[in-house]
Amino acid sequence: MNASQNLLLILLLAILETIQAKPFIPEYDNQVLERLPGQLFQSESSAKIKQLKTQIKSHPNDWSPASQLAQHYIDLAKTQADPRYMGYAQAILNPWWQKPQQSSQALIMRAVIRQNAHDFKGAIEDLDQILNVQPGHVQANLIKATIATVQGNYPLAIQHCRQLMRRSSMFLALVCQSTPASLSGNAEITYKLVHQILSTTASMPEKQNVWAWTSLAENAWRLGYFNAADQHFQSALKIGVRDNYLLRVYADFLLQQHRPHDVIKLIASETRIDSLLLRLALAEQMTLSEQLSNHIALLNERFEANRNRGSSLHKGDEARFRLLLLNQPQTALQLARQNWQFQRESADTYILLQSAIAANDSEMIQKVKHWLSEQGTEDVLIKQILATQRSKGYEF
Amino acid sequence: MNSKLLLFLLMLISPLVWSHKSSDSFINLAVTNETIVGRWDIALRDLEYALALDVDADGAITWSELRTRFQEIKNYAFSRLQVNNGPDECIRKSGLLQVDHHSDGAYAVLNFNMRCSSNIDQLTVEYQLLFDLDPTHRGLVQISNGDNSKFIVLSPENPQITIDFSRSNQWQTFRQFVTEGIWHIWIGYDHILFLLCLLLPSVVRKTTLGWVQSDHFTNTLWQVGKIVTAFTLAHSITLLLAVLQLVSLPSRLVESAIAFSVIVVAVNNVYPFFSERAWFVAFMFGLIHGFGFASVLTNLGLTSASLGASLLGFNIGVEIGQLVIVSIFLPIAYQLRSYWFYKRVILHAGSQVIIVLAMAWFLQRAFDLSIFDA
Repeated sequence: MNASQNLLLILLLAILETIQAKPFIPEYDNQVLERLPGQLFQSESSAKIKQLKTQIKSHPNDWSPASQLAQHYIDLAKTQADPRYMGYAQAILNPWWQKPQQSSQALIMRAVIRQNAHDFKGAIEDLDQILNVQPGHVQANLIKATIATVQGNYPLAIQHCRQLMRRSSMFLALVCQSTPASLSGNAEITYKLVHQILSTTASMPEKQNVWAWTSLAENAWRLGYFNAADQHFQSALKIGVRDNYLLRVYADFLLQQHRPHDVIKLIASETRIDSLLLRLALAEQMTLSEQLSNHIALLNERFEANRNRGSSLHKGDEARFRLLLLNQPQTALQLARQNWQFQRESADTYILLQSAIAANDSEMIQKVKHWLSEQGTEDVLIKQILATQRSKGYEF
Repeated sequence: MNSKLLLFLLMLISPLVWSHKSSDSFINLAVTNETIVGRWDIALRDLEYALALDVDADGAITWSELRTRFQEIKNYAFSRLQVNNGPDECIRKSGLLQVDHHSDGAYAVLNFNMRCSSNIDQLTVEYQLLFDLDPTHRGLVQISNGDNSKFIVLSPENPQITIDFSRSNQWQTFRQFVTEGIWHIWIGYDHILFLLCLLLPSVVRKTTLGWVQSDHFTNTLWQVGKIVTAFTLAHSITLLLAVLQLVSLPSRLVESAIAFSVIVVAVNNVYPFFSERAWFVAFMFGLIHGFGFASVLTNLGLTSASLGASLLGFNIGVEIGQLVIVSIFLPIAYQLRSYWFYKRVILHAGSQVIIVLAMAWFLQRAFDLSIFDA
């Protein structure tokens, strides 16, 4: 029996196990059925939130409490990586949702919610509505730069970041530019600039620091400065603010560096979050952990649940799951290709290349290579992945 | 720029990753006749947000916190779910409260039964749970009725679904009766023999010297086409008349007449007397065979609702069976027609054997003699 057959067997057994789970009547009254995410129940029971909720209940068309509570849920959605909160925010904004004329604050919130539901077109329309009147609007430019970066339109992203220089801090403009600039031929110089500014700037808000160090670490990683990248990721972690994006990319970095034990140490308790559970399972595959089959079954179930509700938000991760944990290169390629049509972050490009190599789709490999060289992207990882095309094995 | 605004900005731009599943509830409706067995799984997290289950605010929902709120949960949930059969509202009876684990956490399981006033053929489900609190919530509904199963995602834009079981049942009935029709022609030796006896001489031609081989395949095809069409037309007419109970004949008469029809066409093969008008004979006796099909169809059980589908399906099934027989027979017979044994053995001797066999059927059916089963 080869490795893939072995895995398939493990998966089948694990699926059987979960199918056999039946509804039950708990035996004890004090049996805990569900633990609520800590931040949620703390904030929900806080006096401020309770007060806002009462205000909204009696005056649902009153903008001030509605906007405050909606913003609170948008923030929670981000820190918890939980789309439910975006839904809560949208429901609170419902009285304003369909109106054509909106305040720029309402437009920003609607753009963020739409962006996170992958309705990029709708989000951009909202942002353009603001930028037509106020071309220097800080938030609108920042979000548009983010969307442009995710979609791989680096010149547009940089253009919007530059708008920030006039209206806000140099620091913000620079960090905003660092990812699109480093992906379009200016990796080295951006790295040095951001590194310098981070070492010399005294006190920054924590979140901002995490963001800056994470971008810097990613840039270092693409340049092949692995020790530096590790140090920068550590600097970001040391700040002590929970950031799902940081955990996700650092886990990816550790996997690529063949440090599965460090991955497990980093995210062993994060099984609630699909993208982190995927990284955990990939580490467990390297260490041949007993947990692996359970986690594969759980991931399989969650991806299926997402497919059933018609969601397309998880295709990149599912492609990686299919390729690396289930050894299904064709399905993986299909998912990765669909994902790449609207998301072109580095991780999206890696998985597309890896699946295309595994599925022997040389046309797709050429297409991606062509696009990367057009952008002027320098990335040691891409080189590594392309090198496996010859040896026909893949890593992380 | 103040630091609070910066913090807000950073919240906005941190890259997009959705790592949790969005909120879904799962409804399973198993329909039989006028009843529905239902199961509804709702995430405890969603119930917590809507109804605040965690009364002691310790961040954990216990069984007692759920159990003691059962009535309130039922009222909340079922006021947001309408299940109707056409214009009739169906009456719901609640069952046990259970708990189940899905991939993203614990769910309350609401079991229930529903009874509608008549057979369920137009099931309408209207779903409004949580849409007011979370427009990204979805209701994932699985509806099954026998072998039919449908899976639907309900959303604020599409909160309602109507499933027309009568239509899907008609289709199912139709397919079932097509199979029955094919099966019946295959096991109904008398119909096959009648048809074959009529077709055997179609590849030859009657002259003063007896049977000689036919020269053109198109001639043969024309002959066969006429015969088969006449037979089909005739038995379809009487099948319809009999099933609609416009004409009814005693089955003893019908069965005997069918046996007699086989004798007549087999005799014609040995002593030709109507060969030019074979299509006419096919039509006349076809009328009798139609009554035979009708008795089979009525025995299969017909309801007035599915009458059209069954009748059409059965008839089409019979024609398919017939066409298969003809398309196997014709090329073989055409190839063999010039050999002496086709005329001598198959046409003559074969028909004589069929005469004897059909005689026996006739005697058995007409006079209730048991010749075959001792």
